[in-house]
Amino acid sequence: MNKTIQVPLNRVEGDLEIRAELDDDGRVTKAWCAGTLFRGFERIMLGRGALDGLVLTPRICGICSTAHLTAAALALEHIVGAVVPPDAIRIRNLALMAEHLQSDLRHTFLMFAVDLVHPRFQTSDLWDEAVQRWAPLRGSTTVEVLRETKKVLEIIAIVGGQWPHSSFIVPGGIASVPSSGALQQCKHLLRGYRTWYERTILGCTIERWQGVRSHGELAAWLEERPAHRDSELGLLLRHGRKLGLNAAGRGPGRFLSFGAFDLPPDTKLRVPMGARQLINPGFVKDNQVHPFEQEHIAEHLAHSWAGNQACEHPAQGLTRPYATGAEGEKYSWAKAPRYQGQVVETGPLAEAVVAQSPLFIDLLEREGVSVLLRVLARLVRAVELIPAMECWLNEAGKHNEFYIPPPSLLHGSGYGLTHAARGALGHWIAIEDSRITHYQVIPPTTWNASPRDNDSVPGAIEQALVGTRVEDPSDPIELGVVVRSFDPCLVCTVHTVNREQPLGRIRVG
Amino acid sequence: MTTPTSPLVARIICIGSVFDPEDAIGLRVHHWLQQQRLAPGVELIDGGIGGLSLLTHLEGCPRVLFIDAVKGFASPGEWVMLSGAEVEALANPCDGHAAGLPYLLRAARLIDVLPPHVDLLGLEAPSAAESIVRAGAHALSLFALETSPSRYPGDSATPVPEPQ
Repeated sequence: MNKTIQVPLNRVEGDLEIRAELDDDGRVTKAWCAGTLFRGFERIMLGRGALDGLVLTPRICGICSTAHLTAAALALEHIVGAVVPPDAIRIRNLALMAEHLQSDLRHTFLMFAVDLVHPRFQTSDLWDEAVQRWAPLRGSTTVEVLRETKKVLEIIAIVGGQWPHSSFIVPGGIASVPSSGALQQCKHLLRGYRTWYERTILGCTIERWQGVRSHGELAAWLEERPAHRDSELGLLLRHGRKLGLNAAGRGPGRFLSFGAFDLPPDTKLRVPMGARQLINPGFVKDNQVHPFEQEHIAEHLAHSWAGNQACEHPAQGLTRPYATGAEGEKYSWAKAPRYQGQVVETGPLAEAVVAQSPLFIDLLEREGVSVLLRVLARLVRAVELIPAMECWLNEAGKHNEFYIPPPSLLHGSGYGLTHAARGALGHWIAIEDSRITHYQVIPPTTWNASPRDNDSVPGAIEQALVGTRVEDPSDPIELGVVVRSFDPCLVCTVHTVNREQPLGRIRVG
Repeated sequence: MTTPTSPLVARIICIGSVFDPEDAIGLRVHHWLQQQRLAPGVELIDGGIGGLSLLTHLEGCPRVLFIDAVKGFASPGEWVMLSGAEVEALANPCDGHAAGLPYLLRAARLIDVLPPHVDLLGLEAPSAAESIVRAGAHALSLFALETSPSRYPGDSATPVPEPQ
């Protein structure tokens, strides 16, 4: 007889609750992924001044506020066709990349790896080592990650002039002119971060890791030196394989990238011929990369507490809380975004697949999508980011032009597409008489943690959970591992000091 | 952020989500404090939902006063003072995914940036405008300054916007 369990995940990832149906063997047969908090900040935006999104939307999320700021500015620039000087593009990219660096490692070691030290996983002979490194609030790596990610974030504070929730990115460029001393300080911080990342996370130089281009080369790299095996990446790969994470959490097998990090036209950074962004836009279906067109996005509402059942493009869609009618059918405040009607996943793995990274394509073909593959992509994304940051820091300031006044923001509509650390992020806006008349945000977790769509097809996490075996339904840690491989973040909301500690409990229904 | 011209004595860090009325209490106090005269060397910061990003503001600061909403400590509208140690004790190492101020303080201790003096002025939600003013005035009194009229000539006295 099937049994249903509910798994409220903690607030650091927003308000997300998983419900899963288990068969007699404890395997998930169906899963439901619910956003339990109505956000509605799109409604707060209506009637406000055209530029207000630059101040309000960075406050949507405490972890990826630079990504929201970027999307908000790009949307306004799209309306008026603003030109952004190359140096401003470099500094914008630098700040957003610093945000990615901290988010990727904090999520991996302060959130995801915490599950891997659960007593359930003592079956791996690497468990003791994992506990020593990743135990919450005491593991040796936990402490190092806290210290190093704090330092790298100072880059945003330096170029953004305010931290957290900076609003330094504005239509036409950035609102500050970084001094040569400030850029020098950023270089110093980045140099320190690279040294630590190479020594601790990779166990080798970035250049050596770039030579790992296939499943076989990855195996050879692991055996090449003790420093590789014993690095954080090495331990995650070895512990993860022993726990079967390379065969868990499949997902839809389709990937979406909006593209991010515009290339300054005069950069010397080496990129593939014809590339306009460091992270390519694209849609991968049946292992084929297709061009990305934002017109193909539609949000389904059949299972969302959000009005009627029509599909809506975010340029037209509204945020209408609607909690009555179709009881039992609707179960999430999140809408269900689809691309060409398809369920997709987004995030670092999607970026690697869209970019046709030889290592990830080979691993995909041999082992398929998995928890471990998502984590690997997140952990090595810095290999792409750090050299670009170094290049742009060296190039920045030569023209000393960081802002070109844009045309007046009076009327029109536009969109801003970029990537937050956890995947594709879009803002859609319309203004009339310099007032906001329409605002819609689709953050990455809305793609990954979406509820079922109008055809009742489950979302990416809902699909990834199916087949996962839960050993103890009163403590379904295995489900947390799958969900956290997506780095979910519905929205950072309430973090009050609470006399009771209600977080993290499991309800069995 | 209000930048002091005197050597840094303390930071008042107000935290909360502007999108959630009950959690926006700390930010409403921030708004009120912005219009007051702060003691020399006291810096006022809108910490928003910065979480671990606030580690930067703890480093090298001799004293920090957090202002935030709390639950279960007092009647609605009342404020309580909790020491940093009391708040930090609520960090639960068995729940590795917990977040919030207790986690921030424990993290700060782990990487040696926890200020010598940390306090939390916690307001129990919901809090009306007068509670916001009372809490703000108490915050000022901790730094030996009485509530003062607005710094800005022509401003009406201490407006406290209700959450939208």
